[in-house]
Amino acid sequence: MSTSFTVNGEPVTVETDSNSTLLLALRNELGLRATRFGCGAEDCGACTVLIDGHLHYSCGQFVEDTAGKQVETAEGLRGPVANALRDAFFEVGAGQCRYCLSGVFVSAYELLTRDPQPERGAIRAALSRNLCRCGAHASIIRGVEKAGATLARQER
Amino acid sequence: MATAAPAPLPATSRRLGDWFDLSTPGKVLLKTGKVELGQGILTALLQIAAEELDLELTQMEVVSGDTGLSPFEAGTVGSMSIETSGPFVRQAASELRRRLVNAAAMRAQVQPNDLATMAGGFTRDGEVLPDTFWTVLGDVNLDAAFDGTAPLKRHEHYRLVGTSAPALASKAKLTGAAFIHDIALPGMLHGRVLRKPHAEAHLEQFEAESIRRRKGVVAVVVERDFVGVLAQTEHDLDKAMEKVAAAANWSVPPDERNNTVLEILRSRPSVDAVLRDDLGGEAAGASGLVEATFTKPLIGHGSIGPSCGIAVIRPDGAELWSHSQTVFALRDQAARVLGCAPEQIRVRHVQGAGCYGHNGADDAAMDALLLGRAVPGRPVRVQWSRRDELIAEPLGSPMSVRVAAAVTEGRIVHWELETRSGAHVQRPGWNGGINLLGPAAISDDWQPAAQRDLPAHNGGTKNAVSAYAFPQRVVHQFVPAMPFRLSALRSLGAFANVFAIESMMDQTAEVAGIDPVAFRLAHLTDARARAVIERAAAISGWNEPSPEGFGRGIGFARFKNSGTYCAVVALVEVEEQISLRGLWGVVDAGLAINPDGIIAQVEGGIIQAASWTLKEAVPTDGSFLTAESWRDYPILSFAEIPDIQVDIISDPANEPTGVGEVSLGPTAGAIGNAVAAALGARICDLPMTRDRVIATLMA
Repeated sequence: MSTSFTVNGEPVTVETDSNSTLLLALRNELGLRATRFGCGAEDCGACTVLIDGHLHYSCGQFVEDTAGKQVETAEGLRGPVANALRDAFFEVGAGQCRYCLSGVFVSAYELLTRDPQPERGAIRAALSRNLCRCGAHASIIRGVEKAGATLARQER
Repeated sequence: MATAAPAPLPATSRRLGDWFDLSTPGKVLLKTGKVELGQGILTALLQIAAEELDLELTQMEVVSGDTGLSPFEAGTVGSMSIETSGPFVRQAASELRRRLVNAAAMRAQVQPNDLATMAGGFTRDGEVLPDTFWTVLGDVNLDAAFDGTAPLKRHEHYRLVGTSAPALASKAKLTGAAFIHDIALPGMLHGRVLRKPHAEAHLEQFEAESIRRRKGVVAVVVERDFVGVLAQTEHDLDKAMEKVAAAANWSVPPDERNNTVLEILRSRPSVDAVLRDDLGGEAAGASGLVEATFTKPLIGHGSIGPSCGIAVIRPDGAELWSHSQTVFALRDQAARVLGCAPEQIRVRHVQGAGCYGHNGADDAAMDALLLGRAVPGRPVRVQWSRRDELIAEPLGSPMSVRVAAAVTEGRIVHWELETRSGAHVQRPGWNGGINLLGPAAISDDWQPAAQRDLPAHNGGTKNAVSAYAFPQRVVHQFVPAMPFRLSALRSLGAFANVFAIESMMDQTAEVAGIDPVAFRLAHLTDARARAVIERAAAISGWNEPSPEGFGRGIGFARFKNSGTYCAVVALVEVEEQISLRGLWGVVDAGLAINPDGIIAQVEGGIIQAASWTLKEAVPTDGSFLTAESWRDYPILSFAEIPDIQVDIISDPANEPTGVGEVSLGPTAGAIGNAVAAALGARICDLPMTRDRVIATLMA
């Protein structure tokens, strides 16, 4: 079957079986490999994307259900929030193996978009839909705080 | 406490050209057998090489863990790469610089000592010579062996070592393909193997035809207990695998159903060895024994990315891509399975998700190789499911540690410790076995070797002997016939042994009526050990009063009693469950090559150990593993992470030591002691779940 939607601002049409996941379509049909498989059960968040601005686990999303929608992935996020976050993650060395980090990045982007200077507790709560196994949580939280500080400076 | 001798240099090639390649002008390529596991080792090794060569990091490139290009190095295991490979790379780089300088001096007709090197160029009295590393290369013999006599740069002249260079290629991981999972080769098929429900299960019957007819299925491979599927796409494979389990009929062994992991550990026979005995037959002192038994369950690796491997059968051998820690051992086992020479196999390391020991990486690569035999010339990619990870990867052994101690006049005068454990290492090739799931399902000749533990002071005995000064008797009870697949998981036996020792230190301190920090210091003469404990107490506000319901605790160990020193302080709040409110760590790893890298490793170890301590136990029914998803094996979440601070004490005069595993045991000790301080009662069994807190409160 054929499904048309928008990925990172570009219209796309993919040919897949019904009940094929958005995750596999992004990775294997569209070559967007920053969205990663972790569990296939909506538990870990490695596959996190935005659909019409809302966070979703793409492993649990059927391609046909995204018809006509706007999908954004880690590699496609643009603008001051994405830039501040990307730079901050790099500068503080956020993450360790960084397999989880692209999914965390999407969750943090969504948080900073609606709350540009979140409290540490709000960061922890927002990132709780993502798992990290290396114990790099603290460095990731520092990265989100640093990005928040950058955005605050830009606002002034 | 014994001082450690510097680690001996590893048995590997001393031909300089096996370590360095300068064939690309402007670049020096370091070739290493060590692999990046997310721990930042490649960055650290490049810092060491660039330092000796006076190069910028941007002038260095690296090839790592490629059995076709890298010099042989033993696996990237046991936090040993900085201790063993680091000095070797340093010597090789220093020798390379010496040969380059000699060649340039010959051309300029000056003495080598008159030349300095900078960014790949040569200077004489501040004047830049026309030659560079790459123009004199023709006069340099890279074939000759090096003997380790080239003079090493002095620490006070370091520019790169001791600075926090960012980890390599970290940006790509946010923006696209970066892991083995992301490799797509032309014509690649997707495969997966049905894991046996139990190590001793046998396949009675399998309905292959219905699977073969499914859309996209290219082959169904059935060989004795091995069932695998090859499909055109991941989606086709996922759909086929949903039906494969139901198509298989297994006979399973009669089992100790209902028995817990610890009951199995205690009921099976053990081989006992005395590791140390200062007590002779002496009985405990007059004050009587304080006694407790501390336990740790089966623990999993739980990497966020599942195990993944790629293989292609070639007319003259095979190529594999793997995130293995031991690429050379994997190559040798692949050769054994194919019946060819090791040189006919090329294994290339590609990064996987975080690696904390012997996980399923080698199994996945071997799965791909075994399935690849059905489709010679076509690459086969195998990516495990989350359930495969939870039930088939090697696990960290359960342990039970009994400690009995006596205190007289503020000092421990008697200490007995018995540590009981299954094996801690069963890597590919160990003890003569292939030790991988796929081959074991296929042939009697490919069964895993009998489980053995590592020599004394490693494996289950790691940190079983206490570093504190008191007379001690330490016994190891090794249980060889555990019905679980056990192998190396971060810090091996040190996690449970240090948890037990540090818990008993607090229990005896309480009997003595002495503050736990002061009590530890009273049993330590090593200035470096004392310094990490004192700093941890200072930065954590040790002497500040805790609010009601809160407790502070400390844990300390020197890893292996010869490596890095680490002290951890935990602040917890206990209601019905335990909440972490603060964690502080201090390490002394000698010369700090990359301080941020050290902090990341120690901080990560502390958080991972907090997760093990509070949440983790692999669920079982007898010797069957029952987890289906993360919900059956919860780990610490972002919401549960407290503020955390890690400090480094670094003296460049001390040799650098590994940091990957040092903070795990001290963290369990610190949390256990903090919980005991908050509750007024001690929880001796890990994990310290809500149920165990409630049971302790009711007792």
